[in-house]
Amino acid sequence: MNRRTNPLASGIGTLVALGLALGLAVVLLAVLSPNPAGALRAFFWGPVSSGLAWGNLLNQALLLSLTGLAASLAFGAGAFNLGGEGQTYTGGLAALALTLVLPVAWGWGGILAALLAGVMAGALLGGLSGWLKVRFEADEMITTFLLSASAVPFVNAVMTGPGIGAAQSMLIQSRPAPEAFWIPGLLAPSNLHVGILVAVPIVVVFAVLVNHTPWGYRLRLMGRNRDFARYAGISTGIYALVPLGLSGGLHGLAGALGVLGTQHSLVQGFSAGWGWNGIAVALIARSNPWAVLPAAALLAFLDQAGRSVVLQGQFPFQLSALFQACILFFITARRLHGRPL
Amino acid sequence: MIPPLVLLQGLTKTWPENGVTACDSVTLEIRAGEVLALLGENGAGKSTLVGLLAGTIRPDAGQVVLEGRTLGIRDRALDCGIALVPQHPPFSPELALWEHAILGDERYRWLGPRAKALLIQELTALAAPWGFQLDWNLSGREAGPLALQRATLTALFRRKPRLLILDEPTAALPGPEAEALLSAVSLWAKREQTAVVFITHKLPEALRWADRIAVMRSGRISAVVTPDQTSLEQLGSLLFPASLVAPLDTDPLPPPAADAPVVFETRGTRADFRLKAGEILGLTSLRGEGAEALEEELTGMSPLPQGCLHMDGHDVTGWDIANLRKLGLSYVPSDRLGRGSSPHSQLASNVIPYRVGQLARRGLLRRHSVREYFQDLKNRYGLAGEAGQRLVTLSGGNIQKLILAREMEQNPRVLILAEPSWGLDLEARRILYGLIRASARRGTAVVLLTSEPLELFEVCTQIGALAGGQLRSLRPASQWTPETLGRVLLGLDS
Repeated sequence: MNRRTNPLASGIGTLVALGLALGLAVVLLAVLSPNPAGALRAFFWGPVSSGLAWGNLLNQALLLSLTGLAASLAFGAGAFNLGGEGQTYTGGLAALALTLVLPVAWGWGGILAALLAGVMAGALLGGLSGWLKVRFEADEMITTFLLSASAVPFVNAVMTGPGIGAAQSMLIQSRPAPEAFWIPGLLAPSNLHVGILVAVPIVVVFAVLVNHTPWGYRLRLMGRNRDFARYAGISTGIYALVPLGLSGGLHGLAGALGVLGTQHSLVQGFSAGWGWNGIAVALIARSNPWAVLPAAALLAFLDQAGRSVVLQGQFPFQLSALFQACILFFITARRLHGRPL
Repeated sequence: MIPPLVLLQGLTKTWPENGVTACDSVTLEIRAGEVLALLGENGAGKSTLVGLLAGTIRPDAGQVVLEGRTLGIRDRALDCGIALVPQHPPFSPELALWEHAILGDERYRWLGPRAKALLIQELTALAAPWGFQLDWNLSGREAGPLALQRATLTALFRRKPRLLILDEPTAALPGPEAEALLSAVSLWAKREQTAVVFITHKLPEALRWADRIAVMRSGRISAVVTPDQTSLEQLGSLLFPASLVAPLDTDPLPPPAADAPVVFETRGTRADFRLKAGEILGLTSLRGEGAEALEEELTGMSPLPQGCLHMDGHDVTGWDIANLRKLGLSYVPSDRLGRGSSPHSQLASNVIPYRVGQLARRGLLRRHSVREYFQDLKNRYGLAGEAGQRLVTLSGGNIQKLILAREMEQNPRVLILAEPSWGLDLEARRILYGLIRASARRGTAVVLLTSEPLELFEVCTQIGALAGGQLRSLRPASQWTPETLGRVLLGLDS
């Protein structure tokens, strides 16, 4: 069931794409920056220059692993979940809302419950699209996107609404979660926290499930040829619904972890790009869960490197997005991939 | 003697995907002013031949000579005056019919409202003599197949063709409209001293409208006759010659025991039968006459329009294929790559969908146990390829063998095979028939759906013929001859 006929050729293709993109980044830096040497140093060294930088890099990489795994699961089963952004956002809201009502004495139990609430909220949103697909043959690409697009303003309205909204704040945000439910941080003052470390075992578990179990085999068969899957007697309903539900749940978990571990309250736009970048991770990883971790690390590095250059080298702010676009462009260019280079 | 309008010289095409020679040095002349009907069974090579003629397929050998000039690969058939109306004209759902009409017509760089109005005016004028009433502003999606066919035909006349090729123009047309179309093209050919080639499965139509009738069989033109020299009966025997039935390669199957259980049965449907364990029932029809839909209906891929289906004593009417498989149904579909396999997955992944549960140890599916299973299957069924190879890299025949092995390995109660020999060469067919017999000997009830009637005589114990969507006759194979079968299929007998 491997997508790659020749893993070596495909691996080399990815490396070549990566090299081309980095080369382009270097050229851009050299040409556009008033101080090319400083800009290059900031780009390659900045993301790993300090504990703070490492913490932010790791936190982002692990968050993107979760959303990338979420997108990969859906893609691998032939369902396109374009609603990661809204599912992440909703997961954050559910987790935060629960912490506001739980007794503080629950401690870690409360954190777990809140994370679970985030998972459930995302799973419901994703599963709804799955159900619409099974029941009405509604295209999940459209329903996930639209549901997500309507979830974002809904969450924005709720986070400032009665009971949740912060009384006095310059930002559009909610009341903070009680401190008892803050997930302990690591490498302070970075964004890293112990909760996000759970991403690694989750990725491993799903990689094994997808690649080495009958369930995963059927899931991948659905992704490869839905008609064949139905012909072979696989319950196409379940295998359409479950991956979207799981995908939504993992997005929700990412949102809940971001809120409880880093933000501690719901800030408008806190999940900026996690859902969309999860799709980018899945594309680079070609929906293979094993490849999600390095793909997420790569994307996180590029993002942090871009920020670092902007901070230190008087550089256009959009640079980081431009680098990511370069990488995506080269890596998803299938033509480049298909041929052994 | 007048030189022919078009001369086909030794046209040959072998499809690299499956090694089938669809056209085998076909030589044929088409005269100015004539209507030529092209007949032949499915897979005889008719569509390939017209594709070669119209330049949509490149020949391996041979050439087309139009009015004394040999056409090269740089010539565009339509520019030279050869126009093809495919059976299902390709279309864009978004573009309007008038836009379809000028697709690929490089004279248009830019179309203002005035040019568009003129164009529609021109098209309407062209359509009038044919009696076509077309709304040229309809999009491809709204137009429907009939309007598309008409619009395609009309648009081709803007290019003043010398030779018009119609691939099954009347397959979807009601009688009077088919008559009108064919009489119009016939008049046109006589008046302009051009020519028309049309493919059809309707023999009376060919006899009525064609000046000459060419019959294709296995990639060759087997006969060219004129309507006054021939008859329905003779055409029928040209299409289904008795001499082609290959001798059976093994002993005939024993008739099922009197007390053998009925395992597959339809009641109140358009094709009722009772099938006992160990029997092989073959069902056939001409294309469009009803056998194709049985593939969907008997396998639970789509619901039965009427009546009920019984399997092994259960009323399974309306069951989905997933549940029928649990009762012991296996099914070899006619669409091998779209439905019968996952083309871009490995061979091993393609043989295990029903086995993953058994192959897993403590919930884990290990690569070596999957490969061992594939290797075992490969040895016993003589499959080609390696476990890790992608399925699409196999030839059509080898893909079919793999699908057969996978389905038969289930030791099914009921085995349904749809067009199992499409694209298979003689040796592969011999293996196929051997496997089907072996399956029946083990007590499987087999249903063979095919559009190649002669195939039924190879393996079937019962043969049923459909015409007009209904089962016309169902008898033991020994009571049929290819000729009587052909007559029932053509609607001459019942």
